[in-house]
Amino acid sequence: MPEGLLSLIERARPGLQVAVAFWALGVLGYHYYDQGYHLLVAHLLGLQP
Amino acid sequence: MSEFVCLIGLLLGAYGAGKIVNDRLRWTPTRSIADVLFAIAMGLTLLQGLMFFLGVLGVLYATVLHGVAAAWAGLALWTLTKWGPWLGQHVRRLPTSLAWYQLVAVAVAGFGLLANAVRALAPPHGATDPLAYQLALPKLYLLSNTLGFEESVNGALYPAAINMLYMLGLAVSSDSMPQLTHWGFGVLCCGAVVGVGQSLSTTKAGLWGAVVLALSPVLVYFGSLGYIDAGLAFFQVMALWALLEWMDSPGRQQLLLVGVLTGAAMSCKPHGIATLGVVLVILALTDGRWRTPRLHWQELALAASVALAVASPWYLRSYLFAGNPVWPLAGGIFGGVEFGHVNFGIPGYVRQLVEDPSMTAAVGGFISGILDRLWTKLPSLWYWSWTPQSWQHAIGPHLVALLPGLLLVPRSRQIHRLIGVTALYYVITIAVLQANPRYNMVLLALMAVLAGHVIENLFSERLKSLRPIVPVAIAVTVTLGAAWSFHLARPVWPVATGQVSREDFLRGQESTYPLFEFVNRNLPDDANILFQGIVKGFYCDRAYIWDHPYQRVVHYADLPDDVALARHLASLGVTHVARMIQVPPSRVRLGYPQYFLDPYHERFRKRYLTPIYQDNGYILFRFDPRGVTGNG
Repeated sequence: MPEGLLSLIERARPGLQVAVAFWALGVLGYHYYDQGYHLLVAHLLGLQP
Repeated sequence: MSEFVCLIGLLLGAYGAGKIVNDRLRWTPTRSIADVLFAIAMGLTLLQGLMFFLGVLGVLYATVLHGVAAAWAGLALWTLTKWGPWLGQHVRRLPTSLAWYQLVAVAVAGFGLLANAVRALAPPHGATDPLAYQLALPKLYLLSNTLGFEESVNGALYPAAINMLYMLGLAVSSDSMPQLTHWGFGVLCCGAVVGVGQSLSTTKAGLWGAVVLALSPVLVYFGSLGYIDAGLAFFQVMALWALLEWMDSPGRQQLLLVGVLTGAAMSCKPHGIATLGVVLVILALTDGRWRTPRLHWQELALAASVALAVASPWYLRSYLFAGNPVWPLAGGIFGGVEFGHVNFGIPGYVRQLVEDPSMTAAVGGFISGILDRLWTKLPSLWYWSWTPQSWQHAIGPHLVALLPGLLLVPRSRQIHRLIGVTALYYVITIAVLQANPRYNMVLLALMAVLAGHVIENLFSERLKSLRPIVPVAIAVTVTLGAAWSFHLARPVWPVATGQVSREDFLRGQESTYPLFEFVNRNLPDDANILFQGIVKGFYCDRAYIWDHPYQRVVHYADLPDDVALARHLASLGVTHVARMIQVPPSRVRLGYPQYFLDPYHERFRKRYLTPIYQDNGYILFRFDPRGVTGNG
């Protein structure tokens, strides 16, 4: 791989790592909300019937 | 709760037996988790083999089985004395400087696993497959004291090594023991994920992987029921782990271990054959950089022959009983005892390949079919996460969330190999094995190791301060997953802890239970019952025949009138008929008759059947052949 491209990837790595972290947090957050886990927790805590 | 003691005894005895064999064959991993798990896998394989042997000999009597259990308990005590202090030392060394969120995640995942264990302690109920096959078959073997051929039960001749452990559990403990054993296999899978992580990445990565696997909905939901899939996954993970270790340090002894464990996986279920496929592909693709091509092919033959030797008794049994080593699959090639339905969701092109003797057309169809299926099924992982068709397909969000990180994290040669093996198994799963995660939990386990590697390594040194972000999010989701496990366990807590009797619980949960209570109390020991519309036979303590539409033991279409039916049932030794009063539309669509609305069955009932029991859903008849003699 050309030297310039490698250095570009290396410089972009921290940004990509943050992007992947946001992806992971987004997927996890949306999934558990979408599946209604907040309702389950509320139910178990006696906040909802 | 005594089942827990039995499970610990089972595993300790397996460790002792396996350790003796592994030491003798010089399979002695340096890492403690690997040492423990490879020994347990070997020990369980030996016990399954012993139970198979006793079954074939036809000596599955209570005295014999209690003798086996007592010997195994003795082995467990010996293991505790000999290896206990060594094991204790290694357990104390295990948690290496975990951060608070790691401790929280591991502790909460452990709580979730315990909640699942509570579900496993309840009497088997609800799910159909365990009560129809996985637990029902071992119980039928115990009733007949032999490993016979129950021709009317689906999958009666499938390899059933895990079911052999269930049979021992049913004989010496309780109905819940098989479920707890299956739960134990789930825990062993999590342990194997820690071990693979420790081997190929770090112990912490393995721990994160185990947390991810422990929370995957398919394992949470099915791991506490009497299925066998977590057991299959355990032997598959162990076989592939041994293969990865062999790739690191090739040696004939290590390859023998790969072969034995692959054979053990193939002995659990026909799906285990996929493990041999992966092993052979990896062995064939591995180039000769460190060995000559001749030796290379020798190794391939060695692994395959050892695996086949370990698994062959199961396939030979099927061949001897039904003329087909994989009955009722591949009837087009092997022939054998007729069975009305061989699809089981296998892709059409695979079926064509194994059933169509004109191989040229079949191979052409197979290649185009597999490419087409690969293209359409490639995003399966995404759909299993977001829109699973059922609990069998629900894998949760962690793999989709974390695996893209593999592009950015540092990857050793070992991690690259793991990615390769995982990708190969994924292709096999979606192209050949029904794209069903329940049948392929090994795939989830391998992916969980990779996910753990990502969690541990996502942020490089420059972003060190951000490192806790993803692990903390995982710890939160672990808590939510454990809440779900707790929610599932809550309804069975009273029966699991003995506050409600098992009989009362089952009367409320299993509609057939009152019928079978009557059968078990009132019918003679040699009664033989024909089930009509009834699928779950586990709680019936008498011999039975199942009249589901695929089997050919009682095939109504071949019996033109009520006299022919009566003659046929008499020849089978049927003494009673247990019938579902109103068969649900879903089963009628499958081909079950709506018996009370069917003139053929009504003529038969009026002439030959006398009711002796009835409740809201079921009726039991005494069958009186009235002079009709059997034709068999």
